[in-house]
Amino acid sequence: MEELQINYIGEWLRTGQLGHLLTIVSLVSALLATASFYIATTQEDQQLDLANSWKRIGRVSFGISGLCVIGIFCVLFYLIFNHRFEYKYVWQHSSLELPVYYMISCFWEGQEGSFLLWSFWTVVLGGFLMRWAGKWENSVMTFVGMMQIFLAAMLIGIYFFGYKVGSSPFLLLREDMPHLPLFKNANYANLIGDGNGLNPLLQNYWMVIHPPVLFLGFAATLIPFSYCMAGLWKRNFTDWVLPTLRWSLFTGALLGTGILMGGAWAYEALSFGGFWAWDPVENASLVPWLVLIAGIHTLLAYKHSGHSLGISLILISASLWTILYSTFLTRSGVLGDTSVHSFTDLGMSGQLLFFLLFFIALSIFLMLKNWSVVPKTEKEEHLYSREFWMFIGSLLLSVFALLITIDTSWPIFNKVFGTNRTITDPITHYNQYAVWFAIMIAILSAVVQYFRYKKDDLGRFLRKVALATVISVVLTGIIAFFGEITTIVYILILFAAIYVITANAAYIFMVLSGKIKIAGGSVAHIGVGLMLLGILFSSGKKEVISLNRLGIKFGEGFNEQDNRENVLLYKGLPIQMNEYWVTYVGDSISGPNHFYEVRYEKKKKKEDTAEEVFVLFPNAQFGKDNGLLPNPDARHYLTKDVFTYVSSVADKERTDKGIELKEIELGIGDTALVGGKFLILKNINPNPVHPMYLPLDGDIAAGAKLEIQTMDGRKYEAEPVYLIRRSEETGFDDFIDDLSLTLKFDKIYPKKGKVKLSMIQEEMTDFIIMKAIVFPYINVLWGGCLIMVIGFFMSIIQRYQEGKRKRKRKAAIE
Amino acid sequence: MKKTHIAALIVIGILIAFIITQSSSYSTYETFETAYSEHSDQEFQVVGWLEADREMVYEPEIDPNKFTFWMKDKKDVVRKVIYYDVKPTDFERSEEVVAIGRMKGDEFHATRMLLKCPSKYIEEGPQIREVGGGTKGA
Repeated sequence: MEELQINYIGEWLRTGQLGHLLTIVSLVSALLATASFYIATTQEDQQLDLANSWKRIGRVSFGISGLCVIGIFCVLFYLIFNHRFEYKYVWQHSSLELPVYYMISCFWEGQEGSFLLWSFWTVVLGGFLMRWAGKWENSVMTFVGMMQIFLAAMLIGIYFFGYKVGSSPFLLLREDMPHLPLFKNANYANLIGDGNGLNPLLQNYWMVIHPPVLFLGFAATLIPFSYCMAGLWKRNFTDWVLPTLRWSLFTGALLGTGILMGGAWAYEALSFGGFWAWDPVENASLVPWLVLIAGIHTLLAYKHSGHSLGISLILISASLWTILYSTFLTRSGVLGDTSVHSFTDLGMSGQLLFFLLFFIALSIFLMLKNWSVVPKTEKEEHLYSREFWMFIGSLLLSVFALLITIDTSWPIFNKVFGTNRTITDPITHYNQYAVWFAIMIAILSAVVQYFRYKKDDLGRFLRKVALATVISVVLTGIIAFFGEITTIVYILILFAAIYVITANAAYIFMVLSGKIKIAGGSVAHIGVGLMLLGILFSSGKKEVISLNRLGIKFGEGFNEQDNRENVLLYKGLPIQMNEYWVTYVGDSISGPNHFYEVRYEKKKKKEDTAEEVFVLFPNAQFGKDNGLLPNPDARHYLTKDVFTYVSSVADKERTDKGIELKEIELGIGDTALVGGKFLILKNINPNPVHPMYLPLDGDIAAGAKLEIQTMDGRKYEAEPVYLIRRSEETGFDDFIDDLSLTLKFDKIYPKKGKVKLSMIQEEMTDFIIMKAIVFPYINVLWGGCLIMVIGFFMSIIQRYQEGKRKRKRKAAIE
Repeated sequence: MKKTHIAALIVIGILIAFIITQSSSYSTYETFETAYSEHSDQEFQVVGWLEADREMVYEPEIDPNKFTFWMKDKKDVVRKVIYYDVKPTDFERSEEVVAIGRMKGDEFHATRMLLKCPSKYIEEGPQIREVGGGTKGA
């Protein structure tokens, strides 16, 4: 072995060392902060002075940890900005031509960067808690500190007893791949041409805003969790409900927004042809949200009736467990091929599993130890009470979440139990049960609030709820009739969605007498109803208009012909798709994107003047590793979207493109199949008419009357002219623009009774293959999302003001 | 027993019933020899590799939704696969192919496919910048 010590030059080692130092300081100070807050919590009931000095140490060390995280961010950004490709993270996730506004996206393409983002939000939320949590600060911050320890440890990349802990974003490329011959060169750092670049899918404005919001939601699940743990630890559930509820609502709002933005991104930038594909990564963010929503409802039941505190503690804790479980799923590499957007394995599965198990064990330990002091009511819930039905709703949400979790975990079960199960068509599979849960949950969120807490009278409830029910039944009937909805399940969803909207709207006006300030919950429910309606119309009634209608016959029983959703468009040749005539006009290149100009003209017949014209620019990138990456374009209307993407294009580098010449000999009445077209010689015209031909005396001229039929049955006529003028053979060609076809009349063979023709096919090698889908009423979905999030924030404000009033009342009494 | 407990039991019962009834919409990884079914809506996933030296046919001018190629499964059985969609770009470079569909006669009719392409990152490492080109004789 020749091991030569090379003195590398041109590396920015100091910067990376600074970054690495910051990761270690952030870990150590998080450890110190956690210990200090722990001691402060144990002391706060006995020696307040001692507890307060520990609290100060905790605050300072947590602050230092936070500053380190911000420092790491800056150092890494500095390296990306300066294109220091000797660093593996920079090389792997960025490139020279990456615009500055997308450099920020480099942070969430890689695992290390996304842990950094998570850690950043954790320290920001910790900062808020240290300022406003009051008497809960010490105990809650102990758990926040623990999380910060785990997150900081993900970034250190140091070996402890032979086990690598974390993965540092400041690892050098030569440390990661020492075998490469490149690193024999001392000056290698200046030789690396370009970085690997950011995945084109992430170069989209949604990918600049969606991950930070989603990660804020991820980080925020820690806070309600910590309140639950703190309540158990301090064995105190007074003054506990309001802050826990506020933070749960806050988390629910952000996590919900993050998920929906992910859906919007999938719709705008990916070509699944939809906003939700039940991909494991999507499920992994949906499940914690569902569980948290269940927890919020049981917590409300507890607040008003004293029931269901235990289940609230479990559900709210479970929302963090599911976050950590999804982290494990998406980052440990177990999902493998089943997901399009999981991270690559960094060999940290052990550490991720420990991360998950630690928090589960911690909460189970605290629950078992303190369960006896969790306030319970001996009295059973009344059957006609709001709390009982809220509990049922939460149970349904939890079961739904559990089912999704099980189905998402098949790759893991297969590994552990050696089974061989997989879900072939996730969208159909999950929708099969999702619809029933959606219907049941929606109906509950329509009616349950009409019950009073504790005990209600069935007659009173039925009278209150009657109006909304009647309106909903009638509306459902009308819409189903005119919208031609016949499937029972669809009618039920339609009813459930309308019921949520009308019942909640009626509730705001009739029961709350229009006091919008306290109607946050109802507003959020209306949002959910609109979302359901939007999903029903846009998915149920979505229509692929680019159906291929070429006359190719399949045998009996070929259901694959339903699948023929791509259409080939030759440049300049319009094709009809429902009410549109669609033409591929041409392409252009801008940066890494190839834009394909597609013109839509709304008209009945090709000759008509268009009622409406619009142009879409679906684009594609040709990735290094993954071939063509389409980026759709859509025409947005208030009531529908016309959505288009390119699924394949002509290979422009092919050398045999351009002109294709075919020569044929035909007699009158003969038919030939040439280049996918039927050519029929109808007649020979001795007095040809051609715009270029001016007859002269002594001309010998003939026109070949031709009919050309395409495979899809379109017919064209042409008449190329053959001419002998002053014993010179010449002629006039005829063109069929639609087909980019030139026809030549070359020769007459009087003896054989035949003529020689040539057909020249030009430029037909430029084409795109595209798919076009119409999504009706997708704006109802996005509008519903917005209204739901508004509802969440209204509730947060309501609970905040409730807390303020309580404090005032307390102060007044004292 | 409290009503909530009864409700919880009922819901969990529904859950179990669900899983049992749903099990038909799950499928398993199969080979060409076992990917047969009576039901026209049942599909299988076959994992295998592209037979690169055999013919691949894609003629978008005639039918943009039909692409045929030959594939070898994990038991080394080679079958013709007809994929009813656009030919994926860079298909030739794929390392592993998961074809989703079912056998009909001797052919596998696929409605969807998953491809695993080799990552350039692992393959090659960084590209080296050209230095000194075009400055000769200056």
